[in-house]
Amino acid sequence: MTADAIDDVLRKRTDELLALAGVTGTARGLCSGAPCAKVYVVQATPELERSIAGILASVPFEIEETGDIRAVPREDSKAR
Amino acid sequence: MADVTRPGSRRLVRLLLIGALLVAGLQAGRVGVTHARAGVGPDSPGASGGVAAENAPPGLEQAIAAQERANPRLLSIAGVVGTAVGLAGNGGASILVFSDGRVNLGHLPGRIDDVPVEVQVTGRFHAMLSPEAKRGGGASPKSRFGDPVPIGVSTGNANECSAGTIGARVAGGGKHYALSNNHVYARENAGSPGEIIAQPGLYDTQCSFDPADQLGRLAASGRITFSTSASNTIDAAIAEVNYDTGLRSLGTSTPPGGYGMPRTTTATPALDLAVQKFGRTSALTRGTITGVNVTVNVDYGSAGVARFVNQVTVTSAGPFIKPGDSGSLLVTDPDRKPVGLLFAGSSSGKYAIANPIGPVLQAFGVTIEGE
Repeated sequence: MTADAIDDVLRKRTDELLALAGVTGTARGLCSGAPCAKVYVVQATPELERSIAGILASVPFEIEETGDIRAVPREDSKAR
Repeated sequence: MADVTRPGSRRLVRLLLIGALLVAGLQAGRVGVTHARAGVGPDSPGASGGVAAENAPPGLEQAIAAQERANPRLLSIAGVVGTAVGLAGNGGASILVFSDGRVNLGHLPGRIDDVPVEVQVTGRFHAMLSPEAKRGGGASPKSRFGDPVPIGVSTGNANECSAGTIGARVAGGGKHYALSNNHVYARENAGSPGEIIAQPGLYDTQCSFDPADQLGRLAASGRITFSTSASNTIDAAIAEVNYDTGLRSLGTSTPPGGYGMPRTTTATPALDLAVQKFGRTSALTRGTITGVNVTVNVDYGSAGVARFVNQVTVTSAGPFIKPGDSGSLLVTDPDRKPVGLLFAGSSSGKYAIANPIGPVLQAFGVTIEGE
């Protein structure tokens, strides 16, 4: 599958993916050297994996446990 | 090394040597006295839980006393870099003499006060220098820098006690600017043009602002829309610098130990591209671009969550970014071509998110100044 095809699927499906609780982001990456979709999650669960697989059935994808994605805090006196 | 076949003995020797090395390290490069007592005394961490005491070999106290008496003489011998107390082949205590390899064994006694002496070639001991010291000159990126101020060091808006990173010096319309994040320079949309930008950021000055720390003034920022249906592309701001000879000037290189001067020619983010950054907190780190066309919801704490699109993900085995690295320039490794402006990441720091540098520069009509 080409990078453009992955991007096309992400364009259509990202809103749906990000609506899932625990999904923080999507990206195009490489899986075993080939283009694939990446789904960033706070914590992978079987239920979440099933939901993502249902949405991305047509493309290769990987789920990556990133935890929360935050603006890199400035070092500041009022920690985020 | 002495007998280390028995688990208890192995632990004791390890404790003794750790103690010796710690003392050598704490002496910041001074080779010399390495009192084994540091590892076995009642106040030492190594003695907690009675580990050392339970396994104390015969003659330990005698060996330590003999070592302390002999230290001045032993350490005056050319090539001796330290001493300790360890285990002899028979399981009893011995005096260990650490050598850089130049010791004439004929100058060393076989026993001291009836305690056997063993020589170990360790080479010279070196203080485990902090990253700041390794960078040369001992200047931490968190400190105040003289003229010209390097990129990759502490900065912030003088109206808040915080610190981020100067990503790069950029130029446009005949003016020079420091590039960083909106959330570093423009207080997450709350800042106004003209606000004072300091180096270092106030977090690194105990929250006090010295007018001499002014580096520039806020010139512009890209507005962040705090919504999960937004399509933000940049978290960036620029501060005008080098406009007043009464202020320090901003240079175009990182401090020594960084990647140096970025190229003026940028690179398009690509998968598997090796990248590096130099930031205020974690200094020089290296990673790989593993995600492009990234859409991500970024948590800004009390300001809210903002969705960003067309971003770049960088991953690394260890933390790539830490709090205070906000605004670091992402450049290719080793070519130093700018590819992004770092602004977000996971709490572990192993996932970092960057704005592609192209839209950042286009937003302000500027170019990277460098090589």
